[in-house]
Amino acid sequence: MLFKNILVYVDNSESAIEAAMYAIILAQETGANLSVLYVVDTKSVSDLYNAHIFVDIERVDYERDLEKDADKYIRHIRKMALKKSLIIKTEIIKGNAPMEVDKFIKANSIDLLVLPKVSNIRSRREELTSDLDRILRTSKVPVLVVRADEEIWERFDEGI
Amino acid sequence: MNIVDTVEKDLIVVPVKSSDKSGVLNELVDRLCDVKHFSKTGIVEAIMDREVLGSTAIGNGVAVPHCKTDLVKGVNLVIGVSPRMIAYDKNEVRLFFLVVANENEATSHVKLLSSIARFCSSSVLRNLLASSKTPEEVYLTINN
Repeated sequence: MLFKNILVYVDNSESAIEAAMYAIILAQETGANLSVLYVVDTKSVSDLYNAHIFVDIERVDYERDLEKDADKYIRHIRKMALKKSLIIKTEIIKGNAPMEVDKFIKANSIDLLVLPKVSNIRSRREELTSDLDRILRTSKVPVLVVRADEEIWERFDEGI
Repeated sequence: MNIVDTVEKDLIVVPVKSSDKSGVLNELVDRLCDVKHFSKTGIVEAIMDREVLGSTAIGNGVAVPHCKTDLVKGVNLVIGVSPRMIAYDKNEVRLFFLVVANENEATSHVKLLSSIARFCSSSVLRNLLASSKTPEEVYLTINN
């Protein structure tokens, strides 16, 4: 087996749903185990508090909202996996995304990382702070970047 | 979601005409509602409710008023540049980044605010924005 343990990193984007679809198909066809990781970006919330953009009550409020977003996405991905009769491991972690992905990869013997498509570069400044860019550049395992493609949706729906 | 992806020329007000905090916030909301066809009723109140919790002036002549409300769709950014400093609580402000987001867009909302904070941490970029005479200049500064 080429890959035993696949991790798909998801965020709140539509591309993340496509990446999850692709990872589900890949896991199903290869027999690999699939984990889905969503990192709730509490670092950004803290940074906004330190920058005086958020007040204390907002820090709590927005973190709760971010967790709800994460839960919504993970539930949706679980349903997708169920449609393919695939058992997956899902995890929602709070923290800094590149660090948490790295930790998860080590702790779970991940040998393939699947990522949503990385946005077109429109600003070098934003590129330097993009979590997805950093995860891609610092990954110690092979990375598969899933491009948005209607075919993924069609292929996923086959046989359901 | 970041400031580069979100900024729209139609939602840049240069120069801001009002000379006080309430006037500026109303002016920026007016622009948002004109362009996006939202109803103004309730949006200004949501912004002012947030101001009651604490000033959104963050120093260096910048304010980031923001709120979440189900009166809008998506995450919306309106940028205002005033030719003069405006009294804003205990601060003076020339650059305004108004963010009004739907209540279900928390993640994108936080990402955009973070992007604005990073942008405004640069004195070079702040100065370029403050010296902008047209929306096009603001747009180009953000995109470069």
